[in-house]
Amino acid sequence: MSFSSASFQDLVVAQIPRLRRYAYALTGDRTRSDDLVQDCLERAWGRRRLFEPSRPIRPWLFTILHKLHVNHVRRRAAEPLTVSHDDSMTTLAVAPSACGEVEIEDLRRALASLAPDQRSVVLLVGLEQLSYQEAAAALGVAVDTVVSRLSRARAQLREHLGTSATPRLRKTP
Amino acid sequence: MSTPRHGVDDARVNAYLDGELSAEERQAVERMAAADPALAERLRLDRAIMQALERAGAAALDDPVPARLLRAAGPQPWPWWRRVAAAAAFTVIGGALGWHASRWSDVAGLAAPRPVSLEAVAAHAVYLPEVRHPVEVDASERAHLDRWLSKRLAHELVSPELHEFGFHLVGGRLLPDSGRPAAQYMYENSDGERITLYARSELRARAITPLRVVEDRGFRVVYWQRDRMSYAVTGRLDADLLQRVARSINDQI
Repeated sequence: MSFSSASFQDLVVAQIPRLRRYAYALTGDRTRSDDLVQDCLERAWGRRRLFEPSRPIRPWLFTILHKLHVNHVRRRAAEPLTVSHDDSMTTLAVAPSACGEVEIEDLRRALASLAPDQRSVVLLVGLEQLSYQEAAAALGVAVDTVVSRLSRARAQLREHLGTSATPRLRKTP
Repeated sequence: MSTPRHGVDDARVNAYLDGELSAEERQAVERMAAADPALAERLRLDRAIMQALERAGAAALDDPVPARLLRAAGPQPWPWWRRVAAAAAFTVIGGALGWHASRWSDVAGLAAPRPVSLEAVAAHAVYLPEVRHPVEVDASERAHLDRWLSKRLAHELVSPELHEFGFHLVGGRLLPDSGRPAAQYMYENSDGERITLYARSELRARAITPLRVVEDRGFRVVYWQRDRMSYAVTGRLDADLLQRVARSINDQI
């Protein structure tokens, strides 16, 4: 029916900001990340009949996005994935954090230091709220792999941020 | 800070943070954290990191979405090279055969059209409340209106008579529909109730399709396709009446 196409479109459009955010974190480049999201949206529209409406759309879209990202990276001949530190990108244009919290700037550096695979897991689970199962599907890996990557990633983030954040953390109850 | 051993599996602590545990398992982790300051500290730090992540990401969600991404989430236009190829083909073939002009709209209709029912409701909703300018050409120039719209749609259109249902023609207008011309006729009854007939040409001709009824934004639409044209009648009438109106229109056009 014609309206189901329209409601599919609405569902997808609502996810664009999250897709862009994740794509930016993956590529570290505004233009490339929007290209990636555009490819993802076009692919999703082309496959809309394969989408099962009773299931959440976010994991489905992230799965498409991630596959395309892997292809893009392959095409770009093993170009390293980096989160850029110096461009004044909107994700990080946030007010300085209050006392007792992890500084955004510190977090950004810590995230950039993670291996891309680990960063993906942290972002998908910690930020985009995918379940382990959904993140595993999106990344095309086993759930155990998600679990172990998350362990390593969190340990590394704590290592980076613990010394600066812990004393301040203790001040706030 | 190296990963301390807490007497609780590291993966379990993460699963706790990520809401992957059952209520019972969660309570077990909380009991352990209450008795183990190092574990409690670790949970606090992990949570602080997740909150920072949330804050850092929040601003990105407010970034305005570029139009090209909004377009990509819907019906896709042809890729540019197909447009160019098709335009070139029409220029050559059309120029030679002399039917270039009448077919040009097919090529220029770059975007795959949205369903006629959606377009019809959208147009209906826009012009329904108009008091001073509900139409572009008034019913007093009916013959001119029909000729003009027929020419623009490259199909002979006749504004149907709907007096038997108590509706008279207000007039009509030309509308853009995915980059192609479409026509809207507006009718009104003595109570001021309005219905519109929407017509556009389709890229593919079809034998007549059955009447379909959909409801959207509080309006009811009956639509169908015949040959290269599709039609939609929109209003607040009940489905049965609107279908009778649609059948009468189909008999007249």
